[in-house]
Amino acid sequence: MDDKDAAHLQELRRGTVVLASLLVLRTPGYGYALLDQLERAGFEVGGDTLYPLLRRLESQGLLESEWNTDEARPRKFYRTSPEGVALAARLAADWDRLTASLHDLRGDLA
Amino acid sequence: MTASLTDRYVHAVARSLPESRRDDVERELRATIADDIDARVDAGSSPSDAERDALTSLGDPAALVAGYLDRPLHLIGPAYYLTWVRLLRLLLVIVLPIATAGVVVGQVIAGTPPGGIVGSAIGIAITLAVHLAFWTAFVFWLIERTAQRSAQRAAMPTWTLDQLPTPPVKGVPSLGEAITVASFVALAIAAIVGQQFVSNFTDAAGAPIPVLRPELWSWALPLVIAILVAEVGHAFWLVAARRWTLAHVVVNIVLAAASATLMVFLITGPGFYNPEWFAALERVAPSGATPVLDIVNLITVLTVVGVGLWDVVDGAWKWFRGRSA
Repeated sequence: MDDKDAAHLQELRRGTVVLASLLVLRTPGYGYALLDQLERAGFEVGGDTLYPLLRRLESQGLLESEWNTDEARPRKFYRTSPEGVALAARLAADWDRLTASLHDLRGDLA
Repeated sequence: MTASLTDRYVHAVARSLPESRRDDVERELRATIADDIDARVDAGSSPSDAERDALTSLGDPAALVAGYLDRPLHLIGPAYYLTWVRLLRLLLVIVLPIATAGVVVGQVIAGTPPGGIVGSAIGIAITLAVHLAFWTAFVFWLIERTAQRSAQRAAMPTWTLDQLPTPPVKGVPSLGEAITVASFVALAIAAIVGQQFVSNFTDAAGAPIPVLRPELWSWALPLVIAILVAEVGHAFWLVAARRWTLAHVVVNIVLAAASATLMVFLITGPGFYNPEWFAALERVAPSGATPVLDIVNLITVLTVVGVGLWDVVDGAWKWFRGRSA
C-alpha cells in the first residue's frame, strides 16, 4: 500500500473511531482497554488520537466518566451517555445508508 | 533518583495543560502508560524496552497536548486561510507599489544616486512585504486561537458571488493599467522637477546644473507635465467608460500629437536638454566624433514619435475592434 492509498484510507476512516468508541463504551471501559479492543477489531488508532478524543467526547456530554479506585491501579472509566447512545444510533444508521449506496454504486466492481 | 522516562513524558504533557485538568489527565495518562507497559512485558519485552515502546507509540507530547487542548497544529486553518490570502494579496498589490514609489520619489528629490535609489527601493519593498505577511499572519493566528470559534466564524466575511473577478474585456484597460500609468507619470514628474534641484554636476558657484534647459520652465516643462497628467486622466476615463469610444481615440491622438510636436519642436529649435549639463559631461567623459547631446536628442525624438504612433494606432485599433464586436 503506497502513501496515496494510506492517505485516502485514513480519510475514509476518520470518524469511524468516534462511532466505534461510542458503541464499545456502552459497557464501561478505560482508555487502554478500549484502545486494545479497537485495535483487535481492526480500527487503526493510536493512543495519541484516542485519549484526547475520549476527553473531547466527555466534554461534549457524549461520554460520562468515573474513577475506579477498587484496584491497585486507579483507572478512569468511560461510559456512553444516553445522548452518546442516541448519536451512535444516528451515526450507525447513516453508515448503513452509505454502505447500501456504495453497494449500488460499486455494481460489478469486486 | 533520576526521573523515569514515564515521569519525564507525563511531566512534558502535564506542564502544558491548564491547572484544572492537569491532575486528572496526568493520573489517567500514568495508568494508561502502565497498562501498555504491562501488556508489552506480558508479550515478552523487557521492562525498559516496553516503557520505551509504549511512550514512543504515544508520540510527541506536544501533539498529545494539542489533542487534549483541542488546539490546532497549524498557524492558519482552512476556516481563515483564504480570507488571509485575499487580504494579504490586496495589501501587497496596493500598499507595496505606493510605498515603494514614495520612497523612490523621496530619494530622487533628496538627490540620492540612481544605484542607491534602486537599492533602497528593493530593500524597502522586501522589508515591507515581510512585515505585511508577518503581521497579517500574526493577527489571523490570534483569531485562530482565541475567542469563541463559532462567533468569530460568523464574523468572518463569507465568500459571495460579488467576489468573482470580472474577466478582462479585450482592449479595455483595467484599473491596474491605469494605476501603472499614474505611477509612471508620478515618477516622470518627480524626475522633471527633481532634476532642477539635484544634479551630479555643479557650476562654478556650486549650484546644480540641471539636465533640462532651465529656460523651459517658463512654458514648455509645465506643458509637458500637463500632458502627462492628461494621459493619466485619459487612462482613468477609459476605465470608467469600460471601452474605447471615438472620443477616447480623438483625445488620445491629440495628446500623442501634442507631446510629439512639442518634443520635436523643442529639440530641433531652442533645445530640450541643457547644453551646459552635456558640456560638463564632456569634460568628465569626452565623447567621440558625434556629441552625446546629438545622440540623446535623436533617441528622444525617435522614442517620443514611436511611442506616440504606437499609442495612437493601438487605441484606434481597440476602438475599431470593440465597435465591430
